[in-house]
Amino acid sequence: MTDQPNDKISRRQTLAALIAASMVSAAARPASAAGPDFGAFNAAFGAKIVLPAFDKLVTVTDAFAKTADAFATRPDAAGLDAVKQGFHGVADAWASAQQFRIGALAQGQRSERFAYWPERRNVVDKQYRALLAGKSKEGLALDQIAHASVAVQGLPALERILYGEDKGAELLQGDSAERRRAIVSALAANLHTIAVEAQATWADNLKDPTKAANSFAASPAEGTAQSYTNLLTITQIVAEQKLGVPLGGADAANAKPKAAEQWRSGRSVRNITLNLETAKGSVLASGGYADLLPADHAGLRGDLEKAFDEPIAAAKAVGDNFADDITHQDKRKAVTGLLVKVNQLRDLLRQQVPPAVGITLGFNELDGDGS
Amino acid sequence: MALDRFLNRRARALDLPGVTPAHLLACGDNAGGKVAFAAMAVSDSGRQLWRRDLDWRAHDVIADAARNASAIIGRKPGPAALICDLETGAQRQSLAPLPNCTFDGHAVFSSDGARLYTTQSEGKAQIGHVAVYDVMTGAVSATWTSQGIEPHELLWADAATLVVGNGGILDRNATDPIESSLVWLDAATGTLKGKVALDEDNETLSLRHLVRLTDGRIVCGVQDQDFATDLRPLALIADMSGSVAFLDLPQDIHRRMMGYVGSIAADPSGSYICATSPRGGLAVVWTAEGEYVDAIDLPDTCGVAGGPEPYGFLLSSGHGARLPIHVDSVEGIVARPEALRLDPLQWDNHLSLVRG
Repeated sequence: MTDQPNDKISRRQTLAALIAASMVSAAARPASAAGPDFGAFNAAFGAKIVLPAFDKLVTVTDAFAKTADAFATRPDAAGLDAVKQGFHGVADAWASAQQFRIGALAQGQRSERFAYWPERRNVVDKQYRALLAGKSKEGLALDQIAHASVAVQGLPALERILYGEDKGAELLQGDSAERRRAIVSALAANLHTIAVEAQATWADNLKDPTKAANSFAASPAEGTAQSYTNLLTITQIVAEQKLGVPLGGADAANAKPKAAEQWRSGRSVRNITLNLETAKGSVLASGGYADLLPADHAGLRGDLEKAFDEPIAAAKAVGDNFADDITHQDKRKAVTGLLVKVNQLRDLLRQQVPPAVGITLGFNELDGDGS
Repeated sequence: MALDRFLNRRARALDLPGVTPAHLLACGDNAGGKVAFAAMAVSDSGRQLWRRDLDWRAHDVIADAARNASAIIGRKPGPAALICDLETGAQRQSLAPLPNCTFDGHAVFSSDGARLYTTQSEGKAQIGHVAVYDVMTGAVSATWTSQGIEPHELLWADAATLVVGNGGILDRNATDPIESSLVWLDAATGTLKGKVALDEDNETLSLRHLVRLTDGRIVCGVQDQDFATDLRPLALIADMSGSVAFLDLPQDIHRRMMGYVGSIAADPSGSYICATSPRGGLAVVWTAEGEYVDAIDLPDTCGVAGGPEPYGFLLSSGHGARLPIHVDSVEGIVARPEALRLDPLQWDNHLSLVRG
């Protein structure tokens, strides 16, 4: 017997609802109590936590694009300083938004286009050289950049131009100065466009009560589980990619300082701090995951405060010389201490919070098929 | 009502202990507030037949139905593997890895059931080995190089040849090129009989999961260490002569898979191939000729096994779902909500079909 197409669609919809129901932990709540209202939570989380992060990204990328354009037409040392300042503003706003991958950033490779990292050396360098080799504004129209390799659409290429070996001097003098300024303008415009698209996607989603409740997933429960997975992912990225890979294990001789994120602009630890502060807000600020905690879990809220505050304090204590520090056996102790604190936070977020707030997490998507 | 009672009794009788399991799975159990690991056997109707709790995480659980044996392989870096009774799960042998090595999660029995072939990696350099164990004694009877690093799945390409996916990944968090390969090894001597390695365009692909088509060609499920920069192939069909054909995907489905295939299987008729992507929360199906058919959403799905019926597959997920799907030549993937089974468990990466 062959099923009719409409029947198939309806069966899939029923299937999606059944599967979504499975993502709510049955053990998390007493049978007599009503389940958590994930739809209301997702709407509040989107409005209070996510949307402000993208609002900020729109504002700073807009300012950066204007600064870059002004510098392109009137290049001077003050203008270069302003562009560098603008780069840091954008990188700050990105570090405070990148966690929220579900939905807008996952679509159209927006996340990778904004900040492709970790970098595959031969890809970024090859694409960057090709970008520099063009003349004047060749290949730099907005839609051309938007379809270029993700490796050169955003922050990595900007960082190379502004904080490469010349520290940005070749933006003011030399044969490629005009081209470099044009690239900065084009990339700034591209980042602004991505930010506007991402903000608009979230804003539109929040306007529709059903979409806001589902939060880009098939159901409210799945939406909460997926956005919580985003939180686990950013803490995993901080621990494994931003700290673990540069540290290179127990021995300072194996450190890889150039594997640190944005080491050229000295932002490695600042990004970690901002990632952790954003993660903390997504849990403990109004609208955050802790709002889902039942009243009898007040102790867990306190544990979470402490578990976030300790690595944030440890990150601030590391200072700005991260890439250099990790190559010295003594100085790197502060960094390894930070890694320990982040891993303690990850344990708490992964093991204790999901059952307490009533969600079950994926088992396979988070950790691959072996270490 | 009487009919219901009769059918229920009949179903229970079919699930009596001593019945050969239909599927074997690895799982995690969150019941105690902290995840506990186990291997499990289930019947055709989905009922649990046995569960063996483990103090390490299992990866693949396989059967040798003719000799009522099963093997539970430790997930990489696996500290152990177990040979067990297929019907009861009772342990027969515990296998230790080679010195300075760990199990990589996969193994196959020899056709006479006397030997178990395992993949193992050595030290930080992840030097690949195939270690052969005597199933009766648990002793190592032979070891060969896997002709690469970080070997993952292996299977029989023909009666005398094993094929191994050398994953090549030293660092999961690095996007730099890796050294991955598919190798065909003489099953008696370990001698290299054929090899596939990819060119510069695909230098970030890890060749890890395998299934054999009825004509002997091997389908490989791929993981891309640098999926952001391009839409590289996520599955390919290769043979011992070195020929490779990549399997296409619609661009939107391809992007959703986030460069990651977790498992791959063929249906019992050899007509269809199914690959799962837990990171994308979906499974995709191609024909054995490599034409894309359809995709179905199932959050965190990773386990997939062909069967038990022709054109059928069983999917499992980390949210406790087991979902039979059927591939229809006109409609694509057909899944019935009433066939979905949900358990308060997290099904791990792989599930295997016990073939009687």
